[in-house]
Amino acid sequence: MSEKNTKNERSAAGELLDSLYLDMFHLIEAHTQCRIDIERTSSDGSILLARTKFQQGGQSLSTAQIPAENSAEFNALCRVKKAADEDISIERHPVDKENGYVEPLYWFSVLPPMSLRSAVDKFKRTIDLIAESANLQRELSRVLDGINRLRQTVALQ
Amino acid sequence: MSNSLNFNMENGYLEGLVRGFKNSLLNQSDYLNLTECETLSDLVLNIQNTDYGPLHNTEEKLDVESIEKCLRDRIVIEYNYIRENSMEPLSTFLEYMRYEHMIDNVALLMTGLINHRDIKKLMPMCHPLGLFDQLEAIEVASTIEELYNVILIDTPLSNFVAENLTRSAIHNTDVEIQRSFLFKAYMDDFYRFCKKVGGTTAEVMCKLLSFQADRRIIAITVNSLQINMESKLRLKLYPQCGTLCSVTRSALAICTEEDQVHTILNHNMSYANVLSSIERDTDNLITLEDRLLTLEAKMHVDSFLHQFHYGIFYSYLKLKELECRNIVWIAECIAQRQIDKINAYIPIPIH
Repeated sequence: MSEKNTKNERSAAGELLDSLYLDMFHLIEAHTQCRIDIERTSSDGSILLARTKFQQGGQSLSTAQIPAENSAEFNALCRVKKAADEDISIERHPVDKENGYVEPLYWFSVLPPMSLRSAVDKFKRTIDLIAESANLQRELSRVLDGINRLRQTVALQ
Repeated sequence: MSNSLNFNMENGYLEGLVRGFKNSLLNQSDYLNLTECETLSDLVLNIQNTDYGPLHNTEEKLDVESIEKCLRDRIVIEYNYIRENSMEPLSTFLEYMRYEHMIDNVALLMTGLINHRDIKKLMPMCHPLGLFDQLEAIEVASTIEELYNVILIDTPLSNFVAENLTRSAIHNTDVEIQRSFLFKAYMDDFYRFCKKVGGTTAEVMCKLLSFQADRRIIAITVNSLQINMESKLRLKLYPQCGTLCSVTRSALAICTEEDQVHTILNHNMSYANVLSSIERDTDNLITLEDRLLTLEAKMHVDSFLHQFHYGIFYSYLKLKELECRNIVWIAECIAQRQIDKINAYIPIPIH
């Protein structure tokens, strides 16, 4: 009887292990795709910045336009939000110049061309993808932990 | 006829020189060689085979910025030679060509000072064509007010600063808006100067400057749609020397969407063709700006079909700057390994 129970338990553990491995592969695929998307959107953003320089002239984008350490303080429009045991999410604050929430796009130009605005959209999308990638990575390590524990349990039986 | 004879007496050598420079602009096969390069070193080697010759000092770091600086220095050498050998009124005309870069440099310094950057670190970022004596003496300026006071007094840009610009306006108005006001005043003044010179110069230059003004109007309109700019302010920023009539300008000033801008411009023959040829580009790489740049390049090449006028100096500088931007674009695509976008430069239709 106990032998039958053990056999049933091993069979159930095996099925669970199969399911976990399947989850692992799905997560690896999703994580890899996410990384590829991050690479693609950030490189699209970079080439759009180069396009802005091409259309407007070399001085339209320069480091002189970026605030330095001595510049007026400002608040971040985009923050990472994480509660315990929950996924990472991105919290975006609306632009409110009086309270220090400035739009970084306007550091470069109050009349931004289309290419610069498109670059901003690409970089914003990259931030969302990075949060997604971090969540996938957390999920993947949780599944790998589960697999290791289950394999140890099965080995002890 | 007398205009032609008098022109050659004083400016014939320089016109011949500029026509020779124009022949050294890169042609289609040169661009083909550049777009096939895989590294920046290859690119510099291929540029060496053109009239640019050895471009880069091998001891310095090879990157896009250093290539751009080398190309710009070449333009400055050619410009300075022409300027040093010119006589009036060509000398004043050549100085007008520099004012655009002076305005850009002043805007750069103002932005840098707002961000509390050291002016000594800002000066190397300035365009060499836009340097003037008083700008180099600005090292002591540590605030925007000091910088603006220096520019208001005894500099080439003093004529373009608005008389009603108060101290509070300097602080409350964005640098880009102030730059736009300076640029508008400069364009209108340059237009008046060319009209005063008269002859073929007026005919060619007024056409080129009117197109520049129209291009500026369209850019300001399209770029200010997202920020809900007041129509009065938008109208104030429009240069006066364009071909668009006052009814069109007023209609553009009150536009709130890009489709409205397209509808208004479709009534204008020259720009309707530009708008109709815009393909829907999912990457937003080729925009209306590029179409207008292409049209402008053609106009600059066509100015060489006329003789005995100053417009060829202006057109040569613009074409050379466009060529530099093309090479820098190709360099960026190589550096960023985005070879699929390398052909998005603007070809110069040399006759």
